[in-house]
Amino acid sequence: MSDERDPSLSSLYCLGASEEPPATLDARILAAARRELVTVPVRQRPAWFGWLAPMGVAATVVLSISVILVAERDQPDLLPAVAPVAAPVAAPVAAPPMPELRAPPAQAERSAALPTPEPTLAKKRGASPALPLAKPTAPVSGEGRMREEVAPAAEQGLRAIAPPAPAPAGAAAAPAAALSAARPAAPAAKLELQRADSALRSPEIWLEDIRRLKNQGQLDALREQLAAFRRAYPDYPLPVDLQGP
Amino acid sequence: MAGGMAEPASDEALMLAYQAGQATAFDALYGRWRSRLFRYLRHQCGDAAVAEELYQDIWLRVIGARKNYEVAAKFSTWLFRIAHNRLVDHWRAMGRQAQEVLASYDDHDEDCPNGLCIDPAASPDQLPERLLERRDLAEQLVAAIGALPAAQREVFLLVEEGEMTLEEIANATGTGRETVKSRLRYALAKLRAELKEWQ
Repeated sequence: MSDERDPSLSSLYCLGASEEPPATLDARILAAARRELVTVPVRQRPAWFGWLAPMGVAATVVLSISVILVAERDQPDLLPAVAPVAAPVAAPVAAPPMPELRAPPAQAERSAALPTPEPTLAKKRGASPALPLAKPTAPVSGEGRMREEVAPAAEQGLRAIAPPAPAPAGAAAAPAAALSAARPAAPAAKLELQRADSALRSPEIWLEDIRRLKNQGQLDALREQLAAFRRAYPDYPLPVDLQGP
Repeated sequence: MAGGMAEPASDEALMLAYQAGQATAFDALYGRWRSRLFRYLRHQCGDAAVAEELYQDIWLRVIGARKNYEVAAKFSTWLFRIAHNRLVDHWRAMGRQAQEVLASYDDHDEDCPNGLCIDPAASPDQLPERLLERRDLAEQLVAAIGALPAAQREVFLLVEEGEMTLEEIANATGTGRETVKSRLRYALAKLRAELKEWQ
């Protein structure tokens, strides 16, 4: 209580101030107080209720991290099965292949374009990706021999074009120079230079090249390529226009 | 009080018990403060009907604040703060009639308005020793309280009815402690002077 209080004035005030609220007002207020308890009961929250929201957030974070960790742990099992399939499919067909990755993309491309003959091919030649390279380039005629010489040069030329893997310039220059000196820049030779590596070609592309030889009237080359194709894809059905003599 | 609650339970404990659902706790709390709050309002308003209206409204506000009640101050300080704010709202709602009342809340206590200034150094010893009719004198005191400026009257009533310290009054009314002290000093001086005239 205030120290400034005057005891004599306080006693007089207590004597004089005798007002009381009316009884009806008391009853009204007390009834309102009880009505408040009935209508709006205060829910006594348990002590842990305040931690509900932070715990929910923490549980969500822990769950998310757990899912990520489990996924990362399981990924090494998934990667070997996915990577060889995903990489060649993602690579564009027309893009120049990387020298180091040439054989596997070709194999994958072939398997993607021609699912039926592939198992037969694999059965006959095993899993070696280099085997198809040798077969179509077997020397049958003079042009075939030239093609045998051209093939490494074409490989070297493709290596030189491929930007991520710089090929040794000196090594590529000599065969290229020899090639330019050896052949008279014939269209068929150019075509073969572009399609030298039969392993890179799908059967459809190869047949398309063969059809182009037929249209150009290069019958020797046509026969040679057909024979090579039959050796490479013995079970692949030839188109009608190429089945003739 | 009823319900097994200990008699010396504080006002704050009673309010918390009411918050928890004990209606009897509110009955006890109401019984403690009903007369004091009503007299405070009756003297501040002057009009019995208005005082009753404000009185009911203030208690309804207390009841309505039950859910969110927290012990941040003494219950009396909280209760009379509600009453003070409700009074100010009432005076503002009265418009121009209340301008004089509200003006008394401005800090012009040093100006000694209404010509009631006396020597602040006057001590209670200067009050008359012989009071033949104390009741008449008490009635005159109540009348003198009604003649005080509202701000000074409020401080006096909060001291007498609310049994509040200067700090608690300052907290309840939103004024500084020194202002409250000054208002109380002038109020007491004026009341003494009024009583002296009746000697």
